[in-house]
Amino acid sequence: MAELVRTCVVVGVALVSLACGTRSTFAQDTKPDADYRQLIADAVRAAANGVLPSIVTVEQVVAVANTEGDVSGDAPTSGVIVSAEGHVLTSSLVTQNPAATLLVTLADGTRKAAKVVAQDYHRELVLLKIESDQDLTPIEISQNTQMRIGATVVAVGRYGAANSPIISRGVFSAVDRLDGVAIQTDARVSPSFYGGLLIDLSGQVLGVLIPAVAEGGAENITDWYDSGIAFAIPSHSLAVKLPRMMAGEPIKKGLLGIVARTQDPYQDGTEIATVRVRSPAEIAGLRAGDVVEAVAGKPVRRHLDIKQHLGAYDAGDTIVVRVRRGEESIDFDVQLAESIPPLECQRLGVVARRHSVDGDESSEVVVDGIVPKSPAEGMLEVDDVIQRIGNAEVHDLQTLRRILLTAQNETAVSILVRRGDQTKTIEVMPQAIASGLSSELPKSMLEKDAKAWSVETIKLPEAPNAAAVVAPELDSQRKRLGLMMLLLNPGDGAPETALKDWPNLASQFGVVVCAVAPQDNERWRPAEIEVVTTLAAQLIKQYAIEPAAVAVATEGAMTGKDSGAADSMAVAVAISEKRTFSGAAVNLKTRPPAVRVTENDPAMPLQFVLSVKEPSEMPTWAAPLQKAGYPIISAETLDQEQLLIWVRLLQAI
Amino acid sequence: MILRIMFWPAMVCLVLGLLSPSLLLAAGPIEVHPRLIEIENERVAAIEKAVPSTVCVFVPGGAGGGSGMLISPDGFALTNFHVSSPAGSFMRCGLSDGNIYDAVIVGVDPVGDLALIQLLGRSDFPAAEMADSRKAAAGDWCMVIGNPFLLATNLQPTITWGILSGVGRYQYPSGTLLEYADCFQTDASVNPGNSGGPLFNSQGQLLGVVGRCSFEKRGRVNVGVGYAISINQAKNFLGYLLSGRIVDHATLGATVATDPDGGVRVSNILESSDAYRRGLRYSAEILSIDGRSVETANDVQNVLATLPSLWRVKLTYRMENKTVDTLVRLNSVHLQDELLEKMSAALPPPPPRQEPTPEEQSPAPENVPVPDSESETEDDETTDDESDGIPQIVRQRFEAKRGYANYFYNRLNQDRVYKAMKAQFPGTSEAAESLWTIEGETDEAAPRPFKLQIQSDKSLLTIGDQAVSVSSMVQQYDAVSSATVAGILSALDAWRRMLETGPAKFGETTYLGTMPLGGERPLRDCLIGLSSELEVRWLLHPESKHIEAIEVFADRDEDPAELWIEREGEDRSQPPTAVSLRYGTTQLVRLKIKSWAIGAGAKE
Amino acid sequence: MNFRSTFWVLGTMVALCSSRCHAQPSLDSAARQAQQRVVKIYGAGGVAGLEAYQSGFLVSPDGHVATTWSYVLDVEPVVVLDDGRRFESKIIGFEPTLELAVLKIEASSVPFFRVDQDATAQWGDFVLAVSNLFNIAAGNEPASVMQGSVAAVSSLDARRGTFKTAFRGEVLILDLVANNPGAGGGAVIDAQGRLVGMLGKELRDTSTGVWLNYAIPTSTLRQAIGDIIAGRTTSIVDDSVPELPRDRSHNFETLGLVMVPNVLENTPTFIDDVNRESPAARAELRPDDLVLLVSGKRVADQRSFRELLRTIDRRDAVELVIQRGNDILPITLRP
Repeated sequence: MAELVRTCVVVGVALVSLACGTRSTFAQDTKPDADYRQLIADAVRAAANGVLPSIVTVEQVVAVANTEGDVSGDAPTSGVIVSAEGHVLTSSLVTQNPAATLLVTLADGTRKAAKVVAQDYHRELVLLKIESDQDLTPIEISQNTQMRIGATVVAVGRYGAANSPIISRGVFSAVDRLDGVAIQTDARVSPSFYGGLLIDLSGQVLGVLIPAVAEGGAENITDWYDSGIAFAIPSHSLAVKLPRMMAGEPIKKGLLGIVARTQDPYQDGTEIATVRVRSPAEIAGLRAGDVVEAVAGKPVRRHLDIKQHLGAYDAGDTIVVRVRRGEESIDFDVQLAESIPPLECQRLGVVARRHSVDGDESSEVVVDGIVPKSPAEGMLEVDDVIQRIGNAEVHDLQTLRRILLTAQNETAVSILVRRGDQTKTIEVMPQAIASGLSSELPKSMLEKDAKAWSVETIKLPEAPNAAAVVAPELDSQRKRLGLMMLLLNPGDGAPETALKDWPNLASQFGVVVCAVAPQDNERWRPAEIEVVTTLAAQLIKQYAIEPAAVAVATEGAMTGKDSGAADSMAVAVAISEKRTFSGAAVNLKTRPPAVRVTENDPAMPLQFVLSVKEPSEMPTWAAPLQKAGYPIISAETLDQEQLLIWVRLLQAI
Repeated sequence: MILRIMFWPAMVCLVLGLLSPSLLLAAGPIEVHPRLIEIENERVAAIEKAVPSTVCVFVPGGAGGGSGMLISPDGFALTNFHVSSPAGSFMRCGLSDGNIYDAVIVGVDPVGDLALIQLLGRSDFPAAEMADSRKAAAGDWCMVIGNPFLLATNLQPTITWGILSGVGRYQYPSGTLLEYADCFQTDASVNPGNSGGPLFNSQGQLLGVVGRCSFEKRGRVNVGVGYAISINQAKNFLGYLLSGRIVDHATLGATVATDPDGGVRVSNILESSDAYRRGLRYSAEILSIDGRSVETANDVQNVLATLPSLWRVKLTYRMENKTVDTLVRLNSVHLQDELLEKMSAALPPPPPRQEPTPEEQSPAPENVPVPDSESETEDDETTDDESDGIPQIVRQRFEAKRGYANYFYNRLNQDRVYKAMKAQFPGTSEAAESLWTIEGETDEAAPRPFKLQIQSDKSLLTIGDQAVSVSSMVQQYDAVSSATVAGILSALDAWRRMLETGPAKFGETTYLGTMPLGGERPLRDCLIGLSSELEVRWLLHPESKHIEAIEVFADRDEDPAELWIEREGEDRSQPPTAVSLRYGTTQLVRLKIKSWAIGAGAKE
Repeated sequence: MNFRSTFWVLGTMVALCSSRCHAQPSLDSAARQAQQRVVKIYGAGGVAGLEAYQSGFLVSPDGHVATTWSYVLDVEPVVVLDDGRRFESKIIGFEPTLELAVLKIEASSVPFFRVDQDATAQWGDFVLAVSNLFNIAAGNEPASVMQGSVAAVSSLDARRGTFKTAFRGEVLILDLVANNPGAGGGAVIDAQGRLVGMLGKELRDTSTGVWLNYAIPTSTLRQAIGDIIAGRTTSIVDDSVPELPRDRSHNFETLGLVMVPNVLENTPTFIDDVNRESPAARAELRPDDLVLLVSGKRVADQRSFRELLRTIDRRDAVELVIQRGNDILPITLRP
């Protein structure tokens, strides 16, 4: 009988589909698309209804509203029941602000108070527990979900006082986002969906929706709501992490502690320039010069791949890292750590250049100049070729720089140099960058009879910001200049006038100065960070600017000046665009901007300089930055001349 | 039961025939309607087709980037000018195959916000299939693929899906740059980083190049509105961009206004414009431009802004109750150096820090290494500085010159076109300082015999018993300027000199790009040579490579002498069968050729 | 061969027999039909800094236009039809509690949406939203079309001042970013091309800062539009509960509640003490109980608690939901 029934279905549908095929050949007829819209609506509801019994509302009751960011306060959001015992998985949105209590509203409207069991800080997840005597409907989380890029997906949550179902339809956009942590959809996901589910039309659970932005993407993790860029933690990783969370174990991102040799992350190559002090990598025995071949069994081509594969693991996990050392491949068991001792950024006080040998085959590092009164003075000489530091071979500038940045405070390093036709080992005690400013340029950098540069106004076609630049002629022979982006306060007037007393000094100390005004007279907007960076990027290409000597600064940075909106913008620019900027000079009264501070990265180091009389004046926001490994130089007096010398010497190692 | 017996076999064979991963039914508990499964599969298939040609553009050093799309197997890719310009001459491009390729700038269009780059290192890049974007309508499904917020650290681009919210939209330029005309508006989410990437239709064919968005409301986050430059506009500019130049857009030389009683009328017109010479006057009603009918001033701008400067297109207008179909040469939006100045304000692709030495080396065809890099590495300044870390493979294909994004590609194409000219009669002759003797009869009711003698010092044309000659460049100039039949001599002599001297010695030679001939497509290759006062243009058919017309300008604000060249058959070694001379839209004479002899010129 | 695989095969069959037509049928004709019924509305210049334009749609063949009630309508607004024709319009009526206004232009036999037919949307329904958001469509350009779904059908959060709108009924929450400058008054249509809602003006949740995407359902507007066109005065009941005079409403004292000292911007509603023989005492409320709801409405803090009590008559009982430890308890305080 069942057989018979089935065959009838077969005939029926077959005919229908044939009919539709012919019908839709009439262009004017809207029927086929009306059919489709009806079908998709029914399918979306059917899929959502499959999981709605497990979806709950999570509310923070009497939250202390936070003022930062776009989405604030006690936005009611969603959660999903993951165990019959009352475990509810939701997003970190509910722990953003302290609340008197967390209130969970079940599908049938009953309210329960919830306790936080554990947090996954790596994935913006929070596990709650409610006490309930009634039967709960937990979702099934499958290890192997089917994911097809472009397939229709549905975000499901609950909304409003009546706890009504809420859905958002979109397509599956991508996998392995946010360093291998999340999947991505273009469904418009607003904060009420966070903690809810992402499913496909067959009702399959793809993941749990979270608030997140890419590194440097925005100030607040909720800033991308409704943007068509939304993230979820995929089921397969939930299946692994949930048991640990149920056991009350907090989960944090796992760090390795290797520093890339490649100049930028999109370059091929996985050689290790240096290994962070007291990092898991060092403890496991990884060394500078090792070439990473595989991480946790997955082969890698770029340092980006390594980050990707680490996404699946957390602090405390032990993974196998395979490296090639000389001829042999060696496996190391590395236990990832939740933190690594912060950088103490050291320097020798040399300005060096990369000199390529036989074409681009290989290269060596040649000393170009010695910073007066620096550790290198009297130890190293111009034209010395630096061959190794400690046990690390040196072939390029970034390797040398990264080794020093990760070196230990007050620990001498032995440098093997080739001077003329002899080689010698020299012991040098590096100096912490934070310990102070140099007041002179190396002789090689001084431009005796520098004629003043001219001021020109510039503008990006895509942005209205007014800007002006003090720079040499395009055909100037001067090399390795510094670049200082000088942010003006709202209402400061025309950039070209702000630059009127810079041309002489700029040319003398070899720093291109670009003054940028905000778009409106009230304030700087976060969106303008991109404008400042794009301007800088173009100037770097246009003039012979040393990428390691690019800084953002304000008038307020100089001794005796007041702080303004530009100061806090400058900090925001520097921290969000570390790839472009190596230094920031601002007023110590700066109001700290709403940007997330990530640890100082030796591959894109950043330092600050403040005009501070005595340590007691150090602003409160300095401490967290120092803890994150950012050198903060306190300058007795900071004038135009000092500022320019500092910018030019950002390239010193 | 009978039914069943009839049915099973049929289905089984279908299963075998169509089993493929993308057809698997997802693993969830709910049955999905077969029609939906089919639609899902078609969408996934379209995306799988479109993704490989999508490019993630990264500015070396990591500061910013955007998207792009491959349009040819040899790696040419389109992106936005405002994406390429921060990168300058060199960028890194990631493909979904997991590889990152070096890419070099080729040409830029600052007004249309387009840039052409070339990915290097392969000859079999996956190229996108282009659609006819005129066929797209509001309500059509579409997708945007690219690298929003530079999320694709795994080189897998982001797919967003939606519909066309509007077609033929117009977005005002900032100043005169970044003008979006006849562009698409879509609700598929477009975010920072999507710039320069592809907009595809639901079949995975290329509809446009994603550009600016309306972010007003929420800073840098999509609010339901994104724009894309139509791929048909890009097709118009492709040849120009390939020339390595900084290209400009077109104007009619007239301003128009929408008539309250319908239609669009000329409100002001430059007397120096070609439109004026073709009889267009104040208050004339414009009916169509380049074959596209126009009803409002917006329509006119929407058509003109998608056309390159110097193109000659069809124009239909109505005046004094007469409808006039004619051809019009379009002016440039910007004056000679105006665009370059605007560019420098907009920060152009930079001059390379080390000047390659173009002069002595011959124009290089594909993959012949061009500037000798070894000699440079000797010189410290060139490769010492990390900031100069531009790879050899890129440096070999980059050459700076004022007015060009990358002069290397202009020389490449000059060479290509010149080779094609040499490969067809009379270029096939080796005689230096040659004398061309062309004989035949005029194409008239009462044909008269004619004789043409073309040589360096004195050229002569006799028709029946009349004779005209030119014996100096000045006379050649006057012949064209006064629009006489002697213009033939100027054209033929220019042809002869180009064949004998080559582009480098002829004068200031440029590969302009591609343009219609007499308002007709396909687009012809156009080589321009400036020698003494004359500007000469050679137009070659893209397939047959035949020279179809030679235009000689005495002054850009006057009608050039147009020598139209007719051939029969594909045999390039045979002489043309006829030539005709035109000024404006009137033909002065048509000559049927019986013989075309090439001998050594008479030496004094 | 099990049931699922049968379907599976069907999928492939259908793929064969209709592979000639678009897999995902274009919405162009549906879009076109809607565009023809949507108009652009321009005010004299509006308030400085605010857009002086919005959207609307035709609701009668004689040129009645429904739109959202806003400052753009401060003068006789100009209405531009899909075919580019411009009209001076008259405001013939409005209903502030529905954010609705109806204009009239002197045009005849124009295409229009039927508001009388019964089209109600439920969550999950596929919709098209047609409006002139950001005033992108200039002159005779057709309005912008966007696709999406009805995300939810819900009344706006009742917490006082959460949304700056007089509208208190149920709205269609949308999963597309429809409510942009100029989109107010746009049309939302369903799979059959019927009008199911009118895009509202931009709304932002003042407590969370989230922009809302929503439409006011046709079913809610139907009567008012009909009344206005027919020249009747509309009679929409205002269901928002008014505050009572202090001496007639409840407060902490009448209930015998002593709350923890109100020192913060928003102090939690913890009970500090309970007066003897008070309603609170009779209901056995205890110190450290946390008040969550008052007559079903959420209390954000002590201020909103007090405000909610102002709406309850002293002679009436007060329904609370409180949290004690982990328990959520309903409590009735009888005077």
